[in-house]
This record gives sequence, structure tokens and C-alpha cells, in this order.
Amino acid sequence: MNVTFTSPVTASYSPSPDAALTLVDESAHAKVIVRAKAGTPARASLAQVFAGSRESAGVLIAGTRPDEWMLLGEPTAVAARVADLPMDGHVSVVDWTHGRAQFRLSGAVATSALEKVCGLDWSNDMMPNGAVTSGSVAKVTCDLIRNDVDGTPSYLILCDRSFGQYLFDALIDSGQEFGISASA
Amino acid sequence: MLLVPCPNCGPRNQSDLRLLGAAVPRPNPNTATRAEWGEYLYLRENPADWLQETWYCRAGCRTYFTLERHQATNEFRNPPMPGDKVGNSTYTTITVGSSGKQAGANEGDRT
Amino acid sequence: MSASSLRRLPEQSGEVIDRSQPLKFTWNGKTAVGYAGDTIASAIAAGGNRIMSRSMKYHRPRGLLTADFWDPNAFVQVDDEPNVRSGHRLLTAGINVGPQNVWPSLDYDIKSANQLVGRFLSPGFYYKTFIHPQKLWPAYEKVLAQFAPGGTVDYESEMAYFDKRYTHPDVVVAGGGPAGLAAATAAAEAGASVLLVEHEHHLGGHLRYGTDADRAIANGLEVAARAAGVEILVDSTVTGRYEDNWLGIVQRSHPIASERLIKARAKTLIVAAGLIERPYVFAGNDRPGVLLASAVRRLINMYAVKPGERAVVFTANESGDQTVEDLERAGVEIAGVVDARSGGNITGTEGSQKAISSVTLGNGSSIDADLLVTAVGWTAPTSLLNMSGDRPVYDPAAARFFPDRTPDNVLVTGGLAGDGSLDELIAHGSSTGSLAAGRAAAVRHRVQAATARAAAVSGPEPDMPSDDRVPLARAAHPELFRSTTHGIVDYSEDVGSKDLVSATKEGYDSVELLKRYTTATMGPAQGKLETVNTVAVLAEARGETIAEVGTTIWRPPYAPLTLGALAGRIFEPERVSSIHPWHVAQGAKPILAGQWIRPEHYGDPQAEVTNVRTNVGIIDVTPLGKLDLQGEDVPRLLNLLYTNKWSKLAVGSVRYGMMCAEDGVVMDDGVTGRLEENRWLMTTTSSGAGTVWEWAENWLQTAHPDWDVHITPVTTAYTSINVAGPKSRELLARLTDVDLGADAFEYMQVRTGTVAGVDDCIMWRIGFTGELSFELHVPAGYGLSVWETLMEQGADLGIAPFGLEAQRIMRLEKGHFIVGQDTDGLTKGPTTGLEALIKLDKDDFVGKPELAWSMGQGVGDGEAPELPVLVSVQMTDASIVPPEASQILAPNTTEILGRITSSRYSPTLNASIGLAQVPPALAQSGTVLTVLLTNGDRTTAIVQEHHSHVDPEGSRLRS
Repeated sequence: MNVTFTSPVTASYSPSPDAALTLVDESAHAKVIVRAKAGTPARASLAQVFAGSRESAGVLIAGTRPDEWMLLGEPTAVAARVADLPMDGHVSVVDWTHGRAQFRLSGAVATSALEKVCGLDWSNDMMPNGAVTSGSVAKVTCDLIRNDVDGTPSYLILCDRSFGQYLFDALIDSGQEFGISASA
Repeated sequence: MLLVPCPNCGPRNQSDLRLLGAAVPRPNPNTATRAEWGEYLYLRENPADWLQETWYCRAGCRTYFTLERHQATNEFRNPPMPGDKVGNSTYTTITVGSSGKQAGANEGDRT
Repeated sequence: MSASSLRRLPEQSGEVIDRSQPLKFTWNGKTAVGYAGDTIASAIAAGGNRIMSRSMKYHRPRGLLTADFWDPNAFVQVDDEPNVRSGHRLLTAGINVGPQNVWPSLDYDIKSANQLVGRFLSPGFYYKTFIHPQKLWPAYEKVLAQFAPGGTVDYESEMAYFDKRYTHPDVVVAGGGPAGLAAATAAAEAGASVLLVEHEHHLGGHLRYGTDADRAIANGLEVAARAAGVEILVDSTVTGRYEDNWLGIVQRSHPIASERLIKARAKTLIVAAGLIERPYVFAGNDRPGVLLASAVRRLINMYAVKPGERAVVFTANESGDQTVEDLERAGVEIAGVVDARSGGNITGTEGSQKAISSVTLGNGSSIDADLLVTAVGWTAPTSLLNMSGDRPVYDPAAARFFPDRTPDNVLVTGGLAGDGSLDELIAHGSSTGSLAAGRAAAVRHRVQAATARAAAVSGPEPDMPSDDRVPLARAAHPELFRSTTHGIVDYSEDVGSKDLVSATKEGYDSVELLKRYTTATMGPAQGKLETVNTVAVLAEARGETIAEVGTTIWRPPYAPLTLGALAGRIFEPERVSSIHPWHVAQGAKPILAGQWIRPEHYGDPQAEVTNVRTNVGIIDVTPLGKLDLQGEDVPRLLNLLYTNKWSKLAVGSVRYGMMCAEDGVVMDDGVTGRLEENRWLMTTTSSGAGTVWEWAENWLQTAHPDWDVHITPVTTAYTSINVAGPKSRELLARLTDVDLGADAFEYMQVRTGTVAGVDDCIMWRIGFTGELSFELHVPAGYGLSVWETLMEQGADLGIAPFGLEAQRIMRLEKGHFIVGQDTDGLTKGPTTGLEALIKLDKDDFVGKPELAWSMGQGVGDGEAPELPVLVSVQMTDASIVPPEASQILAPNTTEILGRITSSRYSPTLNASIGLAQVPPALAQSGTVLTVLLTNGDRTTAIVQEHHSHVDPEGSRLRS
């Protein structure tokens, strides 16, 4: 049977390669939520404190809540990391690949665009590379991860899949004055 | 827009949280009289003084916690916050909770 | 010299106009010319026009008074935009500028007859005159609307683009005068991030219209601020200050937006708003040609406009003295200088309505002049301090208010703080900037240390620096508010000192009452010019001091801003399912349900119902709330949240449950299934998805933190599709390897498996529509794919999509209630008829005591309240479908006994059916109810035996 994955972003955009600010739809990436009670070996295995993130074997491990982690990356790498998790004690795993839209906003002026739709403090001290938080972006609650690429500020923005098209368009609107280029 | 000191996230805009009002203990559901239950459901203190309140960090860590807030000055204590104090105040350090789970009574969202 | 540059002075140093850029515009129907850099008002004044507008109540001709943002006489219509402040708005080429409050023209105004009958327009005139009889209110409104002040709104105008931004600077400086600039520079040099906000177009404050030396100093301060990295916004205003230094800032001239609203969280706020010159109250003080000294200096030194030919200057301070020099340099003849410091006074002006011709002095003599300049002192615009909790105190020796106590994170400098030489003001600004940076650093350290995601802080928390600034001295100034005569106090509201005195005599003798009764200080100037004079007149009338009378409290906004700026960019999140593009392509009629855009129907909801009842239909029910529950204590949580029991639910089964709040009121319902021993899927109503999640977390975290349960919202992780109808099994069997046989997969069971090639689908057999049906939950990225496969594979079975409306009809045919539709905020559990699901023998569950009492059990005595009962009804006349919420009355009376909660025409039964809440006495089967229709007619409905109108035995859904 013919099965096709549909991204939450279905409109089409024409990207421009030289734009200083880019927005990329990464919704097809794998996203897994792990929740682990204090004292479980899964916590020790993840070894990532709340509000921070790091890359490990192709998987971005983000401490999204005091007892919750999000594992992001290519499906095979994420699946392998999940398979390695010790499941003793109160640990749960939920595949959120389909539950969240995932966008990447990159560029030196990315924070300026984010300041137009989000009331969080995006300064380097308050949101250094690797920082993880959540907050309201254009009135949608999002998980937010700073994940710089080759020294250029870059932010992962994840929201409920159903808000995906709305949020993508809101971010493009916000980036208009900075010359944003979108690819979906 | 008040800054609310979430024990996990740090200071956050009030709009990121939900205030559930004064924290009141839940009577034993099997022994409570109508009067006790009615008081739990409907009666709240509203002092021009410190009050223990329940907050929910809606847009942030999704933790329920209680804080003491002065109802007249909007100051928070335990943890205290740099706010609109008059006079050269000195501050003590905020303790950032690890689990964030603080037991406290709830009276829930009535919607 | 052309008419449009009649009063333009020769080129001079310091002017802000660019003579190489003439700009043509229209004023009052005639072509005029100004220069780039002109305000609209300076360009009009340069053309020799003295009358700018007519006053709002008496329609008296008015000329420039302050020639800046606050000028109460300079509101104009610019193209389709009313109420433009021409003293502030910069001139642009081609605009059409017209006066306001004039009819039929600026020169001849019929309504100026108001001033002849002025005694009828005393304070409270409208309240007193147009109050009785009430039936004439609509007529009064029409007459009064003719007299309403302001410009004309063009409803055809294009919507402007407004913008919004958040920022978190260490220090915000409100005011870009010498002290503000020095403060910003010092703060930035101390390492703080600084945002400086200047209300006017130019930095430098009063230095900008001063001498060449003044301007050189202002330029130096600006260069230093920019070099220090201060972010500078001109033509922008800090409009409000709220808790913890949350600031509203409106940026008026932004390149991409009409206005931009900036919401700033400043660690320290420096208020350097300067001082605003105050008008003097005397007879004829609103005659065109009476100007403030600062207005004259602005016109001459910034815009090269000669304000008159022959001037009298009434001065009480150095600024007035300097005006004399400026006037002489501009070639204006000085007819007289009246010095208040040596006892001089003025009592009135003579002349026509349109211009003054002479000035009457305190000694009774008079001097011919076409220009009277007053310099009688300053108002301290303490608005931002009031908003910080300060209550400024009046100092009679300096004739103005001074700050009292501000919070640690709000500092004051410049003219608001005191007087002194320019060097002293700049030094005070600098020390304020350093202090602000020090305090901001302490706050920043603390906030950063408390924020988990922030970079690590180094070193111990810095001490909060104490305030050891050298305070500014206060210069002595005579108290000059009202002369011996009466004149206008509030120019924008047309309120005179006589009005204030008579209102005081009527008993409106507190300043807050007086303000609201007379509307003094309530116009567009918002008290910046008239507050202190109002208080002074009241104090005089009461025989008290200004300090005793006190002042009104200034509230946000500091300066009016447009509703567009406040509304800003509109963020209205919309949610759609993965099938949404298909619905759009099929022309489904959309309906907004909460934030969700859903198909209401695809053309004919009645036919959609019939098709489900005869063939098979599919509906997109993605918005159904879905929570993934994992952990060994899930049954305990379910037992707590639902009224029924969950411990024994087998893996592979689902169960319906109802949730009540602690007051016993129904809050949500839905089906929850056990997928594995320790993994469950809870569904909630679409509108209750968020609430139930927070509710469950609340109980878990605050009441039972020891329970091992993880709740994860998966509402949009799955696309949910209900496949309903007698042929649904036949269709699905083509697409899945799950055994769908009636014995293998029973009603109220759940299975997981592959559907249409998609793994990890969840399928349960429930029947909201009353038909055999399977609810599929498909990983959302494949939802559209599965939907399209179903449509394709079901073509020969007569498959058709159905929308929300068809589903609502079918659930009503089945008698299922909807929380929030058939229940309300007072509907307790037993009303729904589901008493059997309220298990009072459980140890605890939410709402238990309240539900026990409502069912006649529980602790203590007291009777059970008589709860309404939810019943199914059929209308005796099938052609009448009463609107939902129609009242059920006692026969032949207007006594309301209940209401119809849902109603629809049933295509299955060809009957008009509904659900109703009625008292128990009317709940018996066969009871005839009287229903009131909206047109006043009454009709009847009959209570049915079962909730379900169609297939009450449920044989279809169990088939």
C-alpha cells in the first residue's frame, strides 16, 4: 500500500540560498520523549541536566523538563539510542515524531526575529548555545533549543503538530524585515 | 506583568503561568461535613499580607508549586525576587528546586 | 516672499529644516510649502497662519500654544487620519491637512455661538440637561454627535501594519535630554545594555532650542551615547511602567510599521522626562498669539519661524529672559517685558477672536502687541514615577512637584529631580547612569543564577549599590498659576478656571471628583499642561495649599497611542489536522471549534447521516484530546479522576468515564483504553483536552506525587478517524491484518496494528454515532495517506466523508450528551442519568462528597437537592426544531422550568428531536412539555422513554 508522510507545513515556499536568516522545516526528524523518575538508571544513561542539551552519537539529548528528555535526530540514530536505554524503574518512552512540528531558525539576526514573537530573553547570557527552555511563540507553547551550527546562532522550535503551519507562517512574517528565506 | 520565580525555570512572565489562588488543604472526602467541604470549595482568605498560592508553570516546566506572595506589594518570598522594593534591599539566594514537585493542596481549575 | 513662507526667517545655525527639500502640501484647502524637518504646525505657522483649530466646546479660534507634541490647539486631520498632533508630526510631501472642530469653516464657525450661550455649557451641562426624559436619549444622542469634537474617520481606509517586539535591556532611559543622555552613556560605559527612548524627534531636550553653545553640548552628549553603544529610539515614548519594570514603549516612526509597540523588561528604569512648561491662567489666555516661551524658542531656533511682529514677554525665569533675546534676534519688536520676579503681572488680552491686539498688565496699563509670551514655570511630568508607586510632593518654594520615594529599580534624574547648572544636571545624569548599571548588574546576576538555562554566573552576587548621588538643588521659582482674572485652564477640554470654581462650589471639591465632573485634565493633553493649574485653582477655591489639595494620579499611557499599536500584530493560533488540505480541496464548509478549523459538512449533512446509517462514512476527529498514560499507578489516577472504577479493566479493553470537579459538576467525559499492562490511552472531549491534562497533572503533582504515572499529551501525534456505518468492517478488513470479527474484536475493545500500510495504529470499537464503528488513531504524518486510502478502497461501498454537523445529529439520535452543550456550570453528575457510573463505594475520587450528597448519601444530614434531569424529547410537530436553549415553561404561565439543550431534525426518524434539562417531576416518559419559541409561540415536546431515539438496544453498534 502506498504510504506517504505529510509534514504539517504543506504550503510551498521558494528559498533563496544567500539569505541571512533561514527557516527550515525539520518535522520529519525523529523525536522521542523519555521520562524517568529520579534514581532510575535511565537518568544516569541520559546524563543531561534540565535546561541543557548535548549531541551524542548523532542524537541531540535535551533536558526539556526536570524529569523529561527529548531525543532528536535521524530515525535510526534515535531508535538506537532509545534501544540502549535501561528501562528499569518508572521510565516511559513516547514517540513524538508525529506529535510535534520541528523548525530550525538560523542566522545572526535570528534572535531579533524571535524577539518579535516571543517574550523570553534571548541574550547570549540567558540563552547560551545548548540552552533548552519552553515558552510562548506567537501564542503557541513551544520547546526551544539553541543549537548553533558552525558558530551561527540557530534555534530549534518545536510545537504541537496541529499548530505547525500557523507557527511556520508566523515565523516567516516575523523574519520578513530581516530577509528570511524558508524551505519546507 | 509580574515576574514569577518558578523554582525550575527561574523568573518568568506571569502570562507563562497560571495562578490557581490560595493554596488550601483538601478535607478528607470521607469525613468532611457539608460546611467543611463548602469552605474548601468556595471560601478563600484575601489578606493584605503574605499568602501561600499555587501556581502552574503552564508554558514552561509544567510544574505545580506554591509560593508566598504579598497581596499588597506583589513581593515574593522564599524565594525572594529582585522586584519593586522601596529602599536599598539586600537579597538572599534563590534555591533552584531539583524536582520542583512541592506537595501542596489543590483546588483545581474549575472550568 | 511667497505667502507660504511669510514668516520664515533667513537661514540660521541650529535649524532642523532642510531648505534644499521644499515639500508641497495642502492646508485648509490651499496649497502650502514647508521644508523637510518641519512639523506640520511649523510649516503652517511659517505660512503666516495663526489659527490652527477651533476649541472643542465653544469653538473659539485657537493658535499654537506649545508648538510640540502636547499642543492642545494643533490637532488636525491629515488625509484619512483624524486627531494628528501637528506640533509633533513631521511634514511629508503631498499631504492634505485640514482643521478639526470647524463647521462650516475655520474662519466662520456656526457652533462658536456656543460661547455666547456659554453659561449653559457649565460643567455637568450635558449630564444635567439631557438626562430626562429617558425616551429622548436617542434624539439627544443625534444632536450631541454633531458637537462631538475630533476629526473624521474614514471607514474605507486601508488597514495599517503595526508591529511588536520584546526586549530585555539592563537599563531603559526615558528621556533624551542632557541628563538622560549622560545617564545612558554612563550606564553603557559601565557595561550595561541601554535603551534610550526620546519622545521628540531630536535628542538634547531643551538644549535643542537653545543657543549655539547649548546645541554643541547636546551634540557632544549624543555622540558619546552612540559611541558607548546605547540603542537610541527617537519619536518614541515610554507609555507605561508596570510590575517589575515591565515597560510599554511606542515607537512611532519605524521603517516597516505605522507604529511598533515594544514590551521591555528593564532591570533598571531611569526617568529623565524633563519638565513641561505651564500656561498661565488669565482672561483671554486662549486668544491666538498667546504662546509659551518654549514654543516661541522652538519656532524661532529650530524651525526658523517668526512668531509675531511685536511682543510682550511675561517672564518669571531664565527661560523667559532667553526668549527675549531670541525674539530680538528674529527681528520681533519687544513692546514690553513684564517680570514676575519684581511683582509684574498680566491680567488679560484684548483683540478680535482671531488675534490679540494688546496686553493688559497688572497695573491696569496696556501695551499694543500681536504676540504675548508667557514663562511662568514648569510642570513635572511624574507619570512614570506615579506608575512606580511614587506619590510626588509639592514644593511651594520651587513651585512644582518632586519625587518622593521610588523603588530600587527606578531612578530619577534631570529636571524631574531638581535644578542646577547644565554641568550639574549632566553630572547627576552620569552618576544616575552608573548607579542604574550597578543595580542592573546585581539583578542580572541574580536572575541569571536563578535561571536553569542561562550561562553560569561567575563570582558572588554583587551587592545592590546604595544611592550616594549628590542630590540636585531646587531653584526658587514664584508660584504663578492664575492671575487676578479667569481664563482657560484645560485648552483641550475647554474648561475655564471659572468652571472649576463653580464646580467646587457645587461640592465637587476633591481633585479626583473635580477632574471627572469637569473633565479638566481628561483631554488629549492628559494633564501635562493643565493638572497643576487645575489643582491650584481648586486650592484657591478651597482656601488651602496645593500640597493640602494633592494631585490626581497619572496613569498609563504617558502619551496617547493608537489602538492599532496596542492591538499590534494579531496572533490567533489556528490548529488543523493532517487531513486539512484534503478537506479544503473538497470544499468542506469550515467551522472554528476552539482553535481548530474543522469541516462542518461537505455540502449536505442530512445526506451524510443517511450514508453512515446505510453504508459507511469517515470523519476526521483529530481534535479529540488524547493523553498517553504510563506507569503502574495509572489505575489509581483513573479511579481518582473518573467517577467509575478502572482497576479491573483488561488489556485490550476500553471504558467510558465521566469526570466531575470537586463541586460535583460534570467537567469532561471520554473513553480510555488499556493498551498494555502499564500503558493506557485516555481520550477527552476536543475542547477539554488542555484542561484535563492540566487537571490530571495537578492531582498527580500536588496530591499524589508518590504515584508512578507519566502523562504525555498525544492529541496531535495521532490523526483520529472514525469509520462508521454497517459497511465499516468490510472496508477496514481490506486494509488491516487485525482480526475484525465480531467475536475477535468486540464492542468496547482496543487493538493495535497496521492499517493501510501504517504501523502502530490504535483502533477501538466504540459507537458515538450509534453505528458499528471503528475509531482509528494513526501516526499523524500518515493520517492523510490513510484517509485517502480509505476513500479509495471504500468507493464501491458508498463511502462518503461526514462532518461535525452530521456527527452532532447522529449523537443526538443516539441520545449522547455533550459536556458543555447539554451540561452547564451547575450540572452535577447525576443529572446526566449516569448515576450507575458514580461509584460511591470507592475510597476516594474527585467530587465524591458532593456527588454523595447530591445522591442523598454522604456524611451528615440534610436533604438531597432536587437536581434537574436530562431527558430525550421529540417535538409533537416534526416541522419545528426549537433553537437550542429554548425555555421549557409551566403550562399557561411564564415560569421557567427547564430548557432544550440540544435540538436537530433527524433524517433517520423524520422527527424533530432533542435533549432537555427538566425538573424530576417532568422527567417521566410521555410527559408533555411546553416549549417557548423565540417568536413568542409555544409548542409541545414529549419526553421519551430512552435517551436514545435510534436503536436504543444498541444492536447496531454491537453488530
